[in-house]
Amino acid sequence: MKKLLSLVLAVMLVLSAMPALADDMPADDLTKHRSMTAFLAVDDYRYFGTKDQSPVMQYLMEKYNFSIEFQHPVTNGETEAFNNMLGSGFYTDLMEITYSTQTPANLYEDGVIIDLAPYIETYMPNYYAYLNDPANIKVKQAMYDDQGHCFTITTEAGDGTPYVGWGGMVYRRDILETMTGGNVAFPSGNDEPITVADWEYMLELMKQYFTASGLPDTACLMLPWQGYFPTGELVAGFGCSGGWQVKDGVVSYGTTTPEFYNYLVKMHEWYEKGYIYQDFASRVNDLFFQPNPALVYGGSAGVFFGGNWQLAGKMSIPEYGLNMDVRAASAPVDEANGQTTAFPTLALYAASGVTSTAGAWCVSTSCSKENMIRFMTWADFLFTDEGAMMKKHGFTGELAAADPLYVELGLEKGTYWFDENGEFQVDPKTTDGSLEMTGLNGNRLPGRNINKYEYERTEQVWLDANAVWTRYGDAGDFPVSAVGTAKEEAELADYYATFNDYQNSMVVKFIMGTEELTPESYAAYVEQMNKFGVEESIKIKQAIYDRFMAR
Amino acid sequence: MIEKNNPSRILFNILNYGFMAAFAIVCIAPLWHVLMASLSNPRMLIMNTGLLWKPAGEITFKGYELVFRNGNILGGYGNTLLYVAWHAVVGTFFTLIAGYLVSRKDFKLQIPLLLFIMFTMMFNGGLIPTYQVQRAIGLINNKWAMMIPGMIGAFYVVMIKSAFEQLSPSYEESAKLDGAGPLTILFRILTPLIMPSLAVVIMFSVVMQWNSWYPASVYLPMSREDWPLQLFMREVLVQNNTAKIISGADAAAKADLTSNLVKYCVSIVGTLPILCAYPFAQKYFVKGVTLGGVKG
Amino acid sequence: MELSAAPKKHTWRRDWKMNKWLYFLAIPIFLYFLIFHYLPMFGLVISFQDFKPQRGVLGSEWVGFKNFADFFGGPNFWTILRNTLVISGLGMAVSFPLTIIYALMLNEIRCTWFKKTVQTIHYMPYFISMVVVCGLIIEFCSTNGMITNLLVNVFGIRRENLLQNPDYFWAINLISDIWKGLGYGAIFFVSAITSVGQELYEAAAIDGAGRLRRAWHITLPGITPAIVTMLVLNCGMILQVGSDKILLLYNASIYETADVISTHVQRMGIEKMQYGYASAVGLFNSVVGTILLLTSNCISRKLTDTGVI
Repeated sequence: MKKLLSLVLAVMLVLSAMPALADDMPADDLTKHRSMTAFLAVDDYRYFGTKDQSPVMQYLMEKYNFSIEFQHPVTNGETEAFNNMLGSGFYTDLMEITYSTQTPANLYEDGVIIDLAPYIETYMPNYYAYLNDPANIKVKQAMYDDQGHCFTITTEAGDGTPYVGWGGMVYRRDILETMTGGNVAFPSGNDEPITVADWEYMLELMKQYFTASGLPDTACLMLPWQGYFPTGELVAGFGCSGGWQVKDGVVSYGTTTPEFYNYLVKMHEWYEKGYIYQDFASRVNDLFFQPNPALVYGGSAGVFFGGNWQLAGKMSIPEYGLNMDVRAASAPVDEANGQTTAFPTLALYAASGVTSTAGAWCVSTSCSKENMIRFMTWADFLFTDEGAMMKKHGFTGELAAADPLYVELGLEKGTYWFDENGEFQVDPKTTDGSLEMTGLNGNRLPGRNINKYEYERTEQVWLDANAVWTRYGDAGDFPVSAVGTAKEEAELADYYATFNDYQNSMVVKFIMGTEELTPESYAAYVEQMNKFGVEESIKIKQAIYDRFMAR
Repeated sequence: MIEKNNPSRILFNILNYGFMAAFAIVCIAPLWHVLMASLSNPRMLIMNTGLLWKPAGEITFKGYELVFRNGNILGGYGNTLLYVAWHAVVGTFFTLIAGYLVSRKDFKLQIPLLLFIMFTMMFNGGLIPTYQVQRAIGLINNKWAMMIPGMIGAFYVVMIKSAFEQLSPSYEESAKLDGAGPLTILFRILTPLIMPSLAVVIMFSVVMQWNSWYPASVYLPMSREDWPLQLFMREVLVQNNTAKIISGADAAAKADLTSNLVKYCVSIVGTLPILCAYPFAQKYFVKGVTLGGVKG
Repeated sequence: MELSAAPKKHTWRRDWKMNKWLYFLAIPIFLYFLIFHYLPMFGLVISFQDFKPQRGVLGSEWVGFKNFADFFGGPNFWTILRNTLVISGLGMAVSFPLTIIYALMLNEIRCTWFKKTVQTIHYMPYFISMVVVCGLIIEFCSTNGMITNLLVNVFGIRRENLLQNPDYFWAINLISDIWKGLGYGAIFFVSAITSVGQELYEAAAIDGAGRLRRAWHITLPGITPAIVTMLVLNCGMILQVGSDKILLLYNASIYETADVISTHVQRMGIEKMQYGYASAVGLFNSVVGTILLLTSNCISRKLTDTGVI
């Protein structure tokens, strides 16, 4: 009797569990229309006001039988809008969390978003396959946390194509040619500036050139207002990075290292010699990578942070007598202090395949399960080849011919197509600036990015410059994907706010000489920095790093 | 009034007129600079340092094209006019009433009400709680969200109050003897007498509404059709600036050159109309108001 | 000034009878301030919390006075407090009287078209966007800028970027404030002057009073209530130096004179995203402002018999 009873019970248990299992992972019924809401920051208002009017989104909504009501925050008010949404408790079904001040883990703990890990294999086979491809291990590391949660679906998934950075230090080669009569002879014997001695040779020539030119305001070397590039451009040559760095598994903070002292000494020397732009500290509101454009574009700057759109002769205006030959330069290696190579650090802008949870979509706790499934279904399409092309390059062929916006803009053939030789071709309007691609493709939607066609079309000058900028690699940078727990990150932010503020005011003064720079005063600066939390932060960062490496 | 022209007065006049004229030049030069810059060749403009007396390079309207390519701008003007008019009329009406109430010394609620109002000048609950309250009563993403909140400014109430207090009580008493009701006294007798102050309040609130974009950015995130002009202007400004630089080199090259130009065009498009409004309000400030029918 | 209609004790019942319609008018005003200003004030409690938007006011962690302690105990607290007081003090001691003097001078101009024209022009700088104005200031104060050249040639100061020397910031900020706000700020006083009775001037003119004496004895007393109102309200705002202009003008090399409470909170806020901290600083500003407002009101009542409350 007992046995029978237990058998019956067991059968009942199994029976009751089976539909539950089926319920847990129901198939998506595409015949049912779904409507959802989404929070998304966009920058493509040129053709439409809300993202649901974008051609790609319209296509997706028709194909997968759903509609989305988008909430677009006001430009520059994204963070506030996101926090208002959280504060009011009315979450949208889907959220793009670039502008969140909380980490995804934090949002999950507080019940704002859900863990997608259990559903990805079932509903997003293409995304699942992508993540589990060994080539994409970095993306997987960024998407999953230590406990195996996955909160986000990335918009930034690359295809393994080398990333071409768009900016770094550049110098005006034409000045050197003019001053030496075409015989530029860097002390290191290279044809480009490599060492500090090379840079001093270069800056001295530039100073003579500008002095003779009679231009009212000139800058041999443009520094950003902080006095150093936080992205590491110059400091790397002296043996440290501009921020968190890892050397032999040990985490440290670049701007409190002994190497940074050597950097400051050299910069102070250059400032006194008149090599450095004397107004650099006051140009706070210029972007750090384009300090004082008036001087740069007017031909009054010698070495500055440039973009690949300025390389070679791009900045020349012959009718105004401006002939500039702009070349890329790598960090000046400080041989006098025993450096043989630069510290391997790379700016965000030059790093390959940035994979953090920035630019990622989450599903909120107010989203119904059906809507979540539908979202995963259509997002997965953007990880297929077809969808990924649409996300990156827009429509082609019949789709383009049938889309009113494409027709209106004269894009009946599409933004791209393959010619009879199978060569990838784009409509010239998309590259000469008369059209805005971000409005025509699946910009900011989740999905894979196919970058290879773009890469094939990259100008050789850009590739050469990129090789110079990335010469020393990025092995010393603290991994972008290594993110701490909510508590750790909050603590770090707290310390950072204080010591970074102090550092900004001190570094500038050391360079300008208003604060005397001696080994003692530098030691006092480091001590103060440690007191403001650098030491504590390093401990936390080290713990995060160790956990990340152990994954 | 006939003035005697003694030497010290002549000297004073020369100095006074001289200062006013000189200061006018200092004031108008930057505005002229902005206007000229907005018509400049972007490439030449970016190379320019210092004040412009004529457009740099040949005259171009490229910047204005970029600004007006944002098709929402005309709608933005319409919304701004609506909000400005509403606050100038309805807002001022309630401000006037509030100011009158707190100026009545024979009203037992005068001081409590004044403190109640002035307290809000000093303390506010912050962004998120205010958002929650407005969300709860439905003042989100519609035109009312711009019209109801911010209708009465505590600061203006105090201004109106001090204007009422400056009036001689004889006006009211004589009107009362003539048998005028309280509302008649307020609107027919007293209000015209404080017209200069009222004009200042209207002027200030018109200018404030004209320049306001922040509340709209918080409370109208989803209804672009209700945005005031300045919010579109900011969008144009920001979008021609940094956002593009991260997204790609081609766009960055253009952004570099045009963002500077667009900054000036936005300045002109956004402020020219309001600059022209002042001369109309001015008659109240220059002439003063003399009124008939006043006894005492 | 008290109306003599209350010989008996002025009771509420009596007041209701007498001012019934005033009570009716007060209802919408009361409701407006209640809903839009007092309801959200529950948010002030986040000054005592480690506020997280997604947890709300009820769910966030209570931290007592930690936010206040962070602010008062911050490394630069005394510097930013001093800067705030100096910058708004200079505004009250220099810009404010200048605005009144300017309004008086404008009143002395008899040529109507000239008066109208300059007045219109003088108020224009107020409307030029802050970004543009500050961009020009930074340009002119650079090592080879227009203003620097002028000062080097006329006063023989050392050639340097004026905005990289902490000694100059207060002056630069003050002068640019005056330039930008003089014409606009004077509107209030210009209008107050027009309310001064013309018959007083005529009587004074007959008595042979000169312009200066008329300005001193008639115009100035006539607009005293307006001046007092503005002054008292300004006292309440003494800690609330606006951040937008200073944020655009200052830089790390002159934090020691240029950093004020609002810029400090803004800068910390970008990194920390701490609503609680910002709210605590705001609450501190409000409390100090209220005390100053009441004090200055009291003093002005004693001295001039006018006040706001």
